[in-house]
Amino acid sequence: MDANRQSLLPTFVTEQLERVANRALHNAPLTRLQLHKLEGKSFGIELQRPHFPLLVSVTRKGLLFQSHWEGSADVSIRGPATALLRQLRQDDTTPAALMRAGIEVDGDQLLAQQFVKVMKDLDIDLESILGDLIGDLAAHQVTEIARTGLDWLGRAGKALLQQSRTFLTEERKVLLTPRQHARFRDDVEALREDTDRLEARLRQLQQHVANRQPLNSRSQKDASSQEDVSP
Amino acid sequence: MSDDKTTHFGFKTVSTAEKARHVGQVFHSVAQKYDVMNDLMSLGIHRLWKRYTIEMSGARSGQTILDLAGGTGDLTMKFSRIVGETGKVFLADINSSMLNVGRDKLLDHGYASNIEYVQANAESLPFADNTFDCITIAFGLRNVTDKQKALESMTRVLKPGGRLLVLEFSKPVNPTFEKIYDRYSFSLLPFMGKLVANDSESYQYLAESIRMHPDQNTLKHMMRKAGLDRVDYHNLTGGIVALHRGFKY
Repeated sequence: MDANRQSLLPTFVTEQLERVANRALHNAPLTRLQLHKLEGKSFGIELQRPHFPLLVSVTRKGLLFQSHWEGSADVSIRGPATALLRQLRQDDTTPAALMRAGIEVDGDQLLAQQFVKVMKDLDIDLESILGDLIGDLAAHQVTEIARTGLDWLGRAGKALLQQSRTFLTEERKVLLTPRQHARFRDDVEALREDTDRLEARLRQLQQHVANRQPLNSRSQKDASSQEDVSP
Repeated sequence: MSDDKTTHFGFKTVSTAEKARHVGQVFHSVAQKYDVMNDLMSLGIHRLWKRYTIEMSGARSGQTILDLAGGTGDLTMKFSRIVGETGKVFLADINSSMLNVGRDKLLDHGYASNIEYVQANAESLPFADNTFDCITIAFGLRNVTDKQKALESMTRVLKPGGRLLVLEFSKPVNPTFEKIYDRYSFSLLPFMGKLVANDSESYQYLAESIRMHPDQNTLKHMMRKAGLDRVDYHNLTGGIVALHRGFKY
């Protein structure tokens, strides 16, 4: 086994990621403008599960990715890949929200927030990317067809969901309607409150009984002492 | 340097003056097709080797970097982005044709403001002592006539704390893999050179010069002898290429 062997896989993955990211940025003018404000800054992203470290530096000519680096980045973001991706879809990108999602941030918190926001607001012009490959006219036709198709799919999906809901709730009666569910939830809530009240009463009663017992035992004790002193 | 001293030019033994002239001719001949041939011969892997070198350089904003024997400027391009406007990258090569191709390519890609071009011999670098934070020499050292002298010259111009990275063809670790690699180098490489660049001799020299280049441990020893500390190396692609790294303290 060669102790000095070095795998080039992380380098390869990083190169591909950089290529894709810069290509996407090329067609995302608004994001490019926002990134311009972060020029010269570096962001260390340490993905866990799977473990993959990545340094993203913002340069005048786009993003620069590295899988090995020395020293510290301006901001280090650590967390599971799924949590990071999920966070990019959330509206709240404050440090508290990142912490709640299991993401650790070291360094300039404001910078981290800005970076996550820029990534979240990525506005890639897919038509333009396609246009570079197959020409503007064909790209427009393809994206129009895709857009119409996606709209139709969205509408069909919604209709299917609505019909399925009606069938299962009204016809087969295997699912609750929202009103039935709300009533059930209110009943459960009322039951919970009743149980809480009952528990409180029982506790009060228990306390009352406990307070009375020493009195009884004291009166018994007094009675027995009186018997002792009697001639 | 006296002309009666001899050295290797591929498998031939020639005088030191003759080697410099022959290497010059080889690179004048291949300069225009250098990038295409590199992609073809290494199946594009040379880009990953260079990228790994940059990652190991620890280069950062504001630093001064020397890309020695930088040829067509692949490393300079990336370093220029890393060091930014406050830093500087020197692209140096002994061969004017390679330097011209590199300069044109970098200008075409919009890299200009933080790059200087210097025609220089690695054995006697025209820079003051302690100038650079990092020096890289990628696929250049094996063409240098006096390698030890070149390593000493590089150490001299490195700042204390700076590092030298030598990316160079080396000796494959696995003997079976070495045989396959030998067959590829001596049969296919000159054939491809003939086909694409119409120059099989230069690529025959490339294969021979790789075999004559010091192996991993010899080069490590040479770097230590030149005054570098903490010298280590990483074998890439089974040892076809090795990245040596040393620090000046």
